[in-house]
Order: sequence, then structure tokens, then C-alpha cells
Amino acid sequence: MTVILVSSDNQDFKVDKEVAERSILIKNMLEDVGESDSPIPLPNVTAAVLTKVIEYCEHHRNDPVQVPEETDDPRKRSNDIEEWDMKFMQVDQEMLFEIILAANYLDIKPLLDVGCKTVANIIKGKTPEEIRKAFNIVNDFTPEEEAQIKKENEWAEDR
Amino acid sequence: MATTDNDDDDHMRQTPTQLPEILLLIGRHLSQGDLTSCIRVSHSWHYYLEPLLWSHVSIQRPTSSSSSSSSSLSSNNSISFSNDNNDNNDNNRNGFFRNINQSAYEASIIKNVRHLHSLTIEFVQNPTLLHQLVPVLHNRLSALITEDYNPTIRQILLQNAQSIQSFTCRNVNTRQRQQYSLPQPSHEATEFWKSLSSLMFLTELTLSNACIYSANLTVFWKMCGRLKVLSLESGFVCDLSPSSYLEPFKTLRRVHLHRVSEYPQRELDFIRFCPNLEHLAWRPLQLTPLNQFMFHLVTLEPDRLARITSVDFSYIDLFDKQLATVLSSGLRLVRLIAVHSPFGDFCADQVVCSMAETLEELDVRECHLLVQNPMVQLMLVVCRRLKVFRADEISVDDMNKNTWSPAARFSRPAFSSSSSSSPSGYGCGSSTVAGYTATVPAPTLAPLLSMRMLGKLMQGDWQWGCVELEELDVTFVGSIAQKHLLLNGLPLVYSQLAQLTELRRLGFGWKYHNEERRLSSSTGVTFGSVDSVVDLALPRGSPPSSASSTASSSSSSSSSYSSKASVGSETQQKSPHFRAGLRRLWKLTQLRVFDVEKIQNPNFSVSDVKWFGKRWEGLRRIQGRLSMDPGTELAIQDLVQKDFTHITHHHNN
Repeated sequence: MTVILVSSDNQDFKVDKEVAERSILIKNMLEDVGESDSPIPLPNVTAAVLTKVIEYCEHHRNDPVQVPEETDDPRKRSNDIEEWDMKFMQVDQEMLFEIILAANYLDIKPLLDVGCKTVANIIKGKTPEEIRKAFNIVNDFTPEEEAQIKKENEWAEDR
Repeated sequence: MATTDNDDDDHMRQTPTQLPEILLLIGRHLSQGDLTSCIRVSHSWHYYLEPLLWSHVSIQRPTSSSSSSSSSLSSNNSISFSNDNNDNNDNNRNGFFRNINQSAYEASIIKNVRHLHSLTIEFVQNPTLLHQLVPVLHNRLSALITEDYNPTIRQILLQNAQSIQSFTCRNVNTRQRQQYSLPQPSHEATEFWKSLSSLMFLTELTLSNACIYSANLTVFWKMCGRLKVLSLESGFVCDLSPSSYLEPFKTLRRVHLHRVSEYPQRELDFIRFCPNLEHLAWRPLQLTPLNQFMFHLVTLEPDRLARITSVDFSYIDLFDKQLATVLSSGLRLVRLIAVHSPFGDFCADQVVCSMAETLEELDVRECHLLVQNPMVQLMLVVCRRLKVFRADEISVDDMNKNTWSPAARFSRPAFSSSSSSSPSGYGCGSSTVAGYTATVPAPTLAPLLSMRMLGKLMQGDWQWGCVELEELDVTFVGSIAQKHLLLNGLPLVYSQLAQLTELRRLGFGWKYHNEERRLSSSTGVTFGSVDSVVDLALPRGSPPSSASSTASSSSSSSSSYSSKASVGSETQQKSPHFRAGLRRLWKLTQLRVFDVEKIQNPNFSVSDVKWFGKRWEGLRRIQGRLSMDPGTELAIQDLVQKDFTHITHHHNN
């Protein structure tokens, strides 16, 4: 059974129901709507991004449903991304962000996880200035504020 | 979607790093150090990520930033920010900065202490933080890990008595004592246990060097009634035997008793008191061969023992036969860790007979009795559920069972006839004891139960039954002197490895020895001159075999082998070209870690690495040098860095 997803720029995408249901949002919508064949509008997702998302869901269509992992210390675990996923995420930063936002909106937890791990890998080892440059973030701290925060948290720094 | 005018604004608004829930998700994958960089990026990052930083606080080592900033303040290098710094005259500036630091900590702590879940205190160079933190830390912590026990720790415990679930103290008793006095004054011990007893929700307790005197016993028993995990190491326990009026410790699941008590009977009583025990790790107080704990373990009721599914008997010093008796007592183990223990033929026999269906993890490294012992193979054949297996050496000669011809190896035919010799198999105590340094087969002259059981299985080739194996860490050993065994055995090694499609971690070692199969001495050094000496003057390897995938493995390894043999003495023997055999492992696509550190004189080529970089899609880490030839090694490292960016190559250069 196929469903039709409509991106924000009015492009139609036909996907298997099983693939579409990797998105919890779509799954819930389908349950609410019932047997109707009408296309599902996704106003927050452009066609380019939706293509990528669908590609991910297709590849992972047979994955088991994720069990909630331990919330205590997943910290050191951003190096266990599968090869396919890693290649999949080798896109420019703008697309990476779009994918994360789409995964968040569509509620696709594994894709969101992979995206966040990828971003975490970008952040690793960088100084604050380098992080700002990487993500185009404006520094809204005064120098005194920044020095204060640095001193406050000296205990936590590596080396 | 967005008009061109407001494009930029929309874009900024929509960056995931602006969305708090996503920022938090990203932050959960960052280490403490990375988070400190992140909170300095911008106001919103600071606001959302600081709680994350404070949820697991780890005060570990002195940071260089504080020492560098302090040394920049004045010429006096002995500045510290502790409260008892008495310099105030010529160090007014330091005083000024000191105050700033203190108030900075204070505000930050007061703001953030509500996020604290776990606290690790290992080495505190700057006590200011702790002095500020402790007074406001009330009923927040769920886990506390410290090195020492001191009044500060005590205060933390008492203040968080309603919330702490896990407490680890690596050195309860730090003060040096005179030789003949008690390890810890009894009033101190009493006070310690009293503080602990106020922790109503404590379920995990790990202590080293703690003392439990008779006055503290009641408190201790009460706590055991609530604990799930108890780990005691060293220290002193006056009597581990619980009083009979107590209720059994139904909640205890994991018990570690390392070097705790001299009275095995009492330790046994304690274990008997834990009906739901799943994991037991035990080390004796003294390494005496006559420690009776093991003997008496078998006197526990079978159903009591049956629930213990995981044991750690590393470093104990019994005889193989005695340990085997313990293992035969009905333990249905899922996990058996016996590193550096007398695990030998009899124990392996037990594993084969009683744990074949249940065993999932087996670690028998550094067991000198098992080195190059065919029983290792037997265990691999029989234990179908095995997921993790670690051992030292498997002899390639044994891969082909036909080399087990009794005439060649044993002084009497023990295997060919089913009606083997006397049932005094287990009674050859003296030969076992004396057999530590004898040739391998001597202890197995006795017809082991497993061999009788397997019977027909002993004909034909070995076939490993452990196809679900996820981690394998062994070293294969080949004999230079008997090349035909090597040629026959090597392909069999590969055919066994090839079927381990679930393998995630492979530690593959290779070693030559040039004498007939002998046991190594207990330090694991093999005889002969096979060292990992690299001779750089060697001509650069044999020409790579071209038709590797189609050529039969025996012919390619023979060609590479003979060319190697002509090159130099045994010390410079490179490991065999694994090329042809390696190609047979194309199914190992789940492999994540390939550890080749234990290969003596490794001899992989660039094309080998290219092959498995491509075929082993899951590969993420290569550990160890892949080639003794520096040129090749550099080329390989280059290749990995350029073409296989998802693989990291760790090597000790």
C-alpha cells in the first residue's frame, strides 16, 4: 500500500506505507485519517530534504523499532554510526541541518540520533570560536562574561 | 517558503542549534570537556547546555588553565586558590582574583547544583570548588564515586542520604598504619558504617580497604538486605557469616569478594544467604594452593548454585582438577572469566560436558595449562551459544584432527578405543600436578569424559559450533619445523573463521615456534628464537600472489612460505601471507574492530588492506601494525587515511 507525501514546494512522493511509517508523525496521521487515499501535506519539508529522508527510511525500513536507550551516559557513543549512515550524512551543513529539523518534525528518532551524533562529531575538540565559525553563530557574550564563564567551569575542562 | 527579504532571519531561526531540544540531544553525545567549550559559544547555548554539564560532574585532574592563569598573576609560582593561602601583602592582585574566583564558583554552583546527578571526585587540586559545592548539595546526588573517605565525603553522604543509590570508595582507609595495629581504628569504622547506614536507597556499594569489625556487623547485614551489588576488596571483615536470625539477602545480584576473608566457610555462608545471586567474582586472600573456598563451594545446594550464571575466578591458585570439581557442581554458567587461573584440561572438560548449551562468554587468557592445548578447540566446537571467547594460543597443527594420531603424540592410544583405560582418569592427581611444565598431552592421557562423549565427532575435521561468536581473541601458532602441518592447518583456520559471520571484534594473532609443541612457561614466552625482531635489511617480501582468489590456499601459502624460508633464519620469519585465506573472510561484514597486534612480524600488503577496507563494510578500527616493512606500513596508513576515512588505524609507532 502506498501513500503520497507532498512537500512544501508541492512535489509528490509516492512511498510504501511501511517506509512512511518510520515517521511517527505520519504513522499517527495515517491512523487518524483511516483508509483515505488523500496525500499527506508536509509544509515544513522541502522536496530536496524529503528525498533524503525517504532514502533513509527506505534503507532502514526493516530495522527493529528502537528501544529507549539508557539515559544516563550515552556521551561517549557518537562513534558508532554505521557506514551507510555516515555516507548518507556527508552533505553540506545546510542540508544536514535541514535533515535534522525534518527528522524532528516528522519524529523519526533514529535519523534524528544520527544527525545529532554527526553534529556532535563536528563539535568535538573545537574551541568556542571554532564552533561559532563552524555554525555561523554570533557571539553575544561580552569579553567579561565569557571570561567569567570560563573561570566558573575550569574544573570541567579537559587538560 | 521564505521570502527573499527575510531569508536570513528565517534561516537563523530554523537552525537546529537554536532549538533547545535538539541542542540537548546533540549535547548528550559530548564529553565534559567539549561541553565546556560549547557553553561559551553564545547565550542560548550556555543556557541550554549548562544543566547538561552539571548533571554528571567529574573532578579529576588539575586543569592546566588554572595553573597557567595563576602563574601569570605573579612571579611567585606557589599560588594556589585554597583558602589557607596566607600571602596577602605583595599579592593583593592575587587576593583580588582569588575573590573573583570564589564568587564565580559560588554563583555558578548555586545556579547549577540542582542538575547534579552523579559526582566523581578523584583528585582535587583546588578545594574551593568542593568547599562551595558541598554546603548546597542536598538530596541531589544519585551516584558518588570517590578515591578517599574524608570528612567532606561524609558530609556529602549525610546530606544526600535520601537520594544516593550508588557509592564507590576506592580507599576507605587511607592512613598508613603501624605494622601491628588494626587497619582502621574501630571508632572510625563505626562512624563510617553509621554514615553508610543512613543511605536509605543505596543499592550499589563498592568499597576497597574497608573494615568491618564485630561492632559494625549489624549495620552491615542490614545494608546487605537492601543492596543489589556488593563489592568488597581487601580490607578486613571479622566474620562474613551472617547470623542465622537474619532474612536472606534477596536483593543481592552481584557479589565481588576480592581478598577479603581467610575463612572460606564463612564466605560460603554469605553466598548461601543470597538466593538470587547471579554473578560471583572471588579472589582469595592469599595465594595458597589449599584454599578451601573452592572445595566448599560445591557443598552449596544445587539449586542455589544454579542461579549463579556468571563467575570470575581469575587469579586463583588451585589445581586444574580442583577447579574442575567446582565447575562440575552444577553451575549453569553463562559467563566464565578465568584469566590467569589453573584452567586446564579438566576444566575444559567440564565446560564441554556441562556448559555447552549455556556458555556465552569465556575468557581463559593467561592460563598456562591451556596454551596450545587441543581442548581449546573442543570447547569451540561444542559451545554453540558462545558470543565472546578469549584465549591465548591455538595450535594450527591441531586444526586438522588427523594429526592427533596417538602414535605420534601420546604414549598410549587413549582416543581410538572407546573403552579407554581406568576410570581413575580423575585420579591421576599426581601427574596433573607434576604436569605443569610437561609436554601438552601428558595431562590428557587420562581419557576425558568429553572425549568419550563426543565419540564419533572425534573423527574428521573440527567444525566450530560457535557460529554466533561476536568477539574472538586468539593467537594461532604454527610450527616452522613441520611445514606440512602448517599448510594443511592454515586453510582450516580460515574456513573456521569464515563461518563467524556475526563477528564484531577479531583479535587475530600469529606466532611461530620452531620446536615440537611444548607448553610455554607460565610467563607466556615461547621457546626458541622467534622474537619479533624486525630486520630491515630483508628484501621487500615475496612478490604478491596474483591469482589469489582462485589459487588454492595451500599452494599460495606454500609458495610464499618457501620463499620466506629461503630468506633468513627463523627470527625473521614473517607471518604467512594471509592473502588467500583473508579473501575467504569476505562474509565478515559486521566486523568493526580488527586487532592485529599479536601477529609476530605482520605481513599485510597494501592490496590486502584495500580489499578488506572495501569488503568489511562495518570496519571502523584497525589496531596494530599491519606490516613490518616501514615502506608498506606508511603506504597502508596513507591508504586508510585517504580512502577509508571511516576507519581509524591505531598503531604504536
